[in-house]
Amino acid sequence: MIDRRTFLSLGAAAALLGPAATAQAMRGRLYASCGADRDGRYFLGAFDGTGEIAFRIPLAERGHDIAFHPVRSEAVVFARRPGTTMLVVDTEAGRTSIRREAAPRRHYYGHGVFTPDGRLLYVTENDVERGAGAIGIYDAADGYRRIGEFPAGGIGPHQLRLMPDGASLVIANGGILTRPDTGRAKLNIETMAPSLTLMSLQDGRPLWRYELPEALHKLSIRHLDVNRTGLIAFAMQYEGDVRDRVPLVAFARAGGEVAFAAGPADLDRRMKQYTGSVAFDRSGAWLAVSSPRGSTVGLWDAAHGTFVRNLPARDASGLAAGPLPGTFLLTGGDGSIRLVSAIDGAEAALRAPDRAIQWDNHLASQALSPPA
Amino acid sequence: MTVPLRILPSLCAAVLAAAVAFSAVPAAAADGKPDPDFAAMTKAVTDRVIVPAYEALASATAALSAATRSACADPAAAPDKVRNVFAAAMAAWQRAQPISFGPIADGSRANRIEYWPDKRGTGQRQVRRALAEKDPGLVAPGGLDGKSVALQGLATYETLMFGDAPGEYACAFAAAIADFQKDLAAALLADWTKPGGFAETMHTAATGNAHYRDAREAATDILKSAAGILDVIIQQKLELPLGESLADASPHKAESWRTALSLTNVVANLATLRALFETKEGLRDQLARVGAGPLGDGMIRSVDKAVGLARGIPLPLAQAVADPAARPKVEELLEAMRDLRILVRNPVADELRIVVGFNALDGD
Repeated sequence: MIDRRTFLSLGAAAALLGPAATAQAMRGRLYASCGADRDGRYFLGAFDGTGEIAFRIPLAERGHDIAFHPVRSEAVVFARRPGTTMLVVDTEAGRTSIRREAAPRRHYYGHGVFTPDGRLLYVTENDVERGAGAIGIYDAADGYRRIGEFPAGGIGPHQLRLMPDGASLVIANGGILTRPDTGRAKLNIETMAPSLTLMSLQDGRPLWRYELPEALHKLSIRHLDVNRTGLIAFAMQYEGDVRDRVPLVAFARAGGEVAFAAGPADLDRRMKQYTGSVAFDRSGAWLAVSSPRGSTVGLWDAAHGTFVRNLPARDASGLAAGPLPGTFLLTGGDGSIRLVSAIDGAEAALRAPDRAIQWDNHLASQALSPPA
Repeated sequence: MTVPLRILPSLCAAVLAAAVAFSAVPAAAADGKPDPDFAAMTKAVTDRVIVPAYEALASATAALSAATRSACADPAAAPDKVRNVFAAAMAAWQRAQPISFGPIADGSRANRIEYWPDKRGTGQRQVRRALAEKDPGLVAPGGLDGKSVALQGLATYETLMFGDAPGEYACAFAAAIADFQKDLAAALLADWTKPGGFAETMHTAATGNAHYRDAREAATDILKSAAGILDVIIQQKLELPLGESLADASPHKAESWRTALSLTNVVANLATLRALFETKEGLRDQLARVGAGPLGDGMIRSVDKAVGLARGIPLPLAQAVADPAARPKVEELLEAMRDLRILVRNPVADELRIVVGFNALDGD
């Protein structure tokens, strides 16, 4: 049972549901994030909506994001750029079931997404020879065999999401060229051209493409989320002069308008021109964006496009929709797990800061079926 | 690793306990404690640690270039003639290696100086191919410019000169690398010291410039360098050759194993880490300024202790990891490195109110 203090701090969101339903919502959801322990050993950690750890699995290389299978008790962990392993984890048993190496001369960027039926998995990859982004297609019904690919439409594809129509993918192409033999060194900052692309799942055909204005070409589009109405929110990282004033968050409709998100004038400075994760809440009406460098989380009312508030959060990293509308789970490099409410800024510590754990960039969540 | 989790050595534990007792939440500045003088620290570290390290690298690589050219008149005798000069160049690089920001971060220059570890063997394959093809263009002046980083650096020089006995082409290849390194080190030094160079960027950080909003950001880069080199020592220089167990030890995964410089390299890295703390107005003085003097002193003692452990390993690292008697001493060094990392990333960063975050460091 959640305690009274936690329940109260959920504020308006919990008041709508009552304590019993709130507790069930918090238990009935599995979250996962990569992390490192105090000796720098990497692992995948999974916990429920109350912050209770379900399992930990050691990882040979640093992980990045996780994609939960929409039907099976399975999740896929992607190695961080320029890693080459993808692990399929049985989330019931808490152990690795399949290990996949990237195709020759390919590496992963750290993100992937399932089709709604869970049959196919799409993964952002670097085609090293061509210096071009690719989307690898894996068959989840056949041991995650790689069955094809299509172009990402840009250099450095990073996060990707399925559009609510189930027929297209939206991809954040960061625009930054790297090569395995130079590790994470950025090779094309002066000429980088980030983009947002919409690709057809049927044939990999480009359906829409958005590029930032020339003056903002050093603004790398890295992370995005999509809500049920097809509203895309994307978050950026700036590679230019620290004195430049730049937008860091934008809302877009595929094929339509792109608008930089409203916010305080000094938000780019507070966020140190750098954002980590971006997530809509489960209703799709609220948006959260973390800035690990600025140790802050920005919250927006996505329905009205207005900025709501900043929450201080040390080394803020992973964000995922919380169990209740308007809430988010937030992880930190300081080991903390917090439940925050965008509606009134209320928050509850699900796990206190802990030097033994550093949560990594991203937090993923799965809806569990309620206990029988 | 099978090294059991262990309680911090008593010295570190005492330092840690003292630090935790006084530790401040970075966001809460209004606790009445004086702020560190990040402007003084940035200037001191630039002038007394960083620029001298690049000056030493420039002169050591120039010496390597001259010595290799002359030694290649007799390739068979060359390895012995250049052995000491190579060791000096490698030591100079290892002293500069902890500095992870500024001109070194442009165009993957650290990889160009030393492409290591070569986890997938791509570097070794490229070297073998180059030796088989014997392309005269590659060893001609400027022939390595724009080539793969795996062909340009000191690790490849070591393979060519101290692996199989070098023939005429391998020796010329090594000489081309030495020339490339000389030019690269000269460019790095110039990028720091020229008017408008990075030393100036560090000096003017306090008033804001294109790289830094304030001196705290420059100081953050310095502390990240200290934390970063410990990661490199732990994960690459020690854990890779150690493997999971004695049976799993990989001697050839040790850095510089052909010249048995692996531990000398670690000691050189630690010398710079120590200098970041010890130099006047450096990290120790800043810790003292915020009332955490014992932590700064303890850091220096802990580094000295780790250097003692490294020097006390009776065999070259590549042999020690696979030797039942010497291996525990390597594991002890690894534990000391982990303790140092905990101290740098947590109490030291906390006292200075610097976020050396796991994610803040990232870039994804």
